[in-house]
Amino acid sequence: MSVLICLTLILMGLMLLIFKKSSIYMITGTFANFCLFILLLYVLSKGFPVYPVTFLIFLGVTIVTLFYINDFNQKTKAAFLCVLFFLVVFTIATLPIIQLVKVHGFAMEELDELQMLDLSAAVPFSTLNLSIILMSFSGAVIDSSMAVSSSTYEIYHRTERLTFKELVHSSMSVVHELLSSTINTLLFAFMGSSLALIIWIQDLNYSFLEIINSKAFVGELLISLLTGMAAVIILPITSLVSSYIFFNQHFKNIEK
Amino acid sequence: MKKNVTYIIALLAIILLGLFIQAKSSVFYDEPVLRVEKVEANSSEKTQKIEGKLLNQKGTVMLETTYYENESVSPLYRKGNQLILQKSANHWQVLALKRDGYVFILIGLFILTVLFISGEKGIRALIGLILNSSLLVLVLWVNQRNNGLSLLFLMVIYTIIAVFLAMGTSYGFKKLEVRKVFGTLVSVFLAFLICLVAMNLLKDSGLRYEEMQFITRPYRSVFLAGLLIGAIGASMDNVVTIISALDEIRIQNEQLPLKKLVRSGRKIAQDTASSMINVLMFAYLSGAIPSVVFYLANGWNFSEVIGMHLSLEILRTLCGGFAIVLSVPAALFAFSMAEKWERRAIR
Repeated sequence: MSVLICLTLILMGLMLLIFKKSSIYMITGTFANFCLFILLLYVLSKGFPVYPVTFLIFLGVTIVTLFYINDFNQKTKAAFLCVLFFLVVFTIATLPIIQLVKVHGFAMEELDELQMLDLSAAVPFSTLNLSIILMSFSGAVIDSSMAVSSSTYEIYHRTERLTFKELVHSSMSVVHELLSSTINTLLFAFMGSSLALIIWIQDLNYSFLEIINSKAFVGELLISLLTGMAAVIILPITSLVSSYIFFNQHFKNIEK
Repeated sequence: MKKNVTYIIALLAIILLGLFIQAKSSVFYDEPVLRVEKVEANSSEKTQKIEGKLLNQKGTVMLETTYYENESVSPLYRKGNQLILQKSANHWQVLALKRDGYVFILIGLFILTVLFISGEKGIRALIGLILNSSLLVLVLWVNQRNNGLSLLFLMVIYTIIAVFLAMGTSYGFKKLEVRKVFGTLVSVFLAFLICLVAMNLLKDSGLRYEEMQFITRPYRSVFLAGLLIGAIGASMDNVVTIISALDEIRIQNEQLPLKKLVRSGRKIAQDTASSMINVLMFAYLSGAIPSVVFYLANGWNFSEVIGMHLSLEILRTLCGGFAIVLSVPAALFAFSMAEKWERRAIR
């Protein structure tokens, strides 16, 4: 039996044991997200335009994570709005730097392994780079947004006679709490996955100037830092927007 | 208001300084740096002809370099780009596109964003980030010098120190708690052990190491080392969330029986666990997008390519998933043990 299947089964068993019934949503939802990712790969390989496809899959992942795994309520609706708004603004704001560093395509260090393949195959490497970055921060942005939105909701409903300013203030203190844990989560994940590259750079004695110009390193750095920035910037945005929504009870009528 | 003005000035300063470095830093390079003046791309011959002036030496250079229309190897260079060159046997080669100023802007923007959003807490998070990455480089350096110490053993030590460092910098060294450190370490090591045992028993079946890039050491040990440290952050986050929430409830209601507390702890974890797994899953898997699309465009079979490029990333996600899920019982156990000891001490 394959290691992956075996471990997946054990993980599912553990989740059932610890979270009981609600683990069904977690398992099926995570699996649905995985399938969406595979669908993304399939559709991209068929040559469909990268930006709209990535955007749609991102939307799908957001809907599954917020409305299926969590629930369809005020908190998730507020988070959904924030994620959408953020996706558009952040993409437009970071496009220039992604264009400038030109880290798409394969690095020189990788070329040896690709000799058997046709390097001129019709693959839009430059736009795929944006696809990597968007998918990389999708999970983190949704997670951050959901965390702030539900804490703000709790604060609003637990504390009586809160002014809008006070609500934003308490919600921002949650933002400060979440910031460092978000950064740590991503830091260790990216260090773990680029460990091979770090060892490579050390073993081959790259100089400082070689490191900061190399496509392989700058490529990893770009993805890690943009993902980190995305996961951090969404925090205050959600804090403001969800405070505003809860304070003005925008969604109350729809829910009832 | 004053704060905002400061940040806008800092933002402009970072961008201007970055552009200045990008334009002028060539004097620090030993290799010749070329400023591109003219580019002629010829997609049928798969080359681009580049003409330009050397910036840190005298003279002009003409050279030819590979260019595919899909930009798989090198991008189409444009007028004004700077290239780092190398001369080998009378003809010039492009070592890399010069990116130093842009990297400066990128790092500067990241630091500025964190500081702008979270001020003092942001500084702590950044210090933790710098300490932990420098420590990793240091540990890898020790490993490079001493062949006797295995990479995995050093990573185990790194994990223990990194948890202390990360918690100390984010939540304060004075508030450093045995419960939280214990919970994190137990869940990370347990998750890693489960994966390691499964890999050993099943002889790595279904895992495809051949697509691992940048390999200078035995690939399996490099992968295992990365597997271990990948989940530290996620499990720490979960453990801290659960224990802090339980502390909060305990302050409000001292008489609440431990069983009920444990139940609410589990509920809190429910909301965070699955979205944390999603965070790791997308952060790990997304890097494979271009390679998968490239292999498929070369006519490879879909399921073959998926297995080849995603198997290790899926395993990383699973290991992270174990660490996140196990951090729930680990945190609850640490919390209740500490409480029992405390009660005993009072008696």
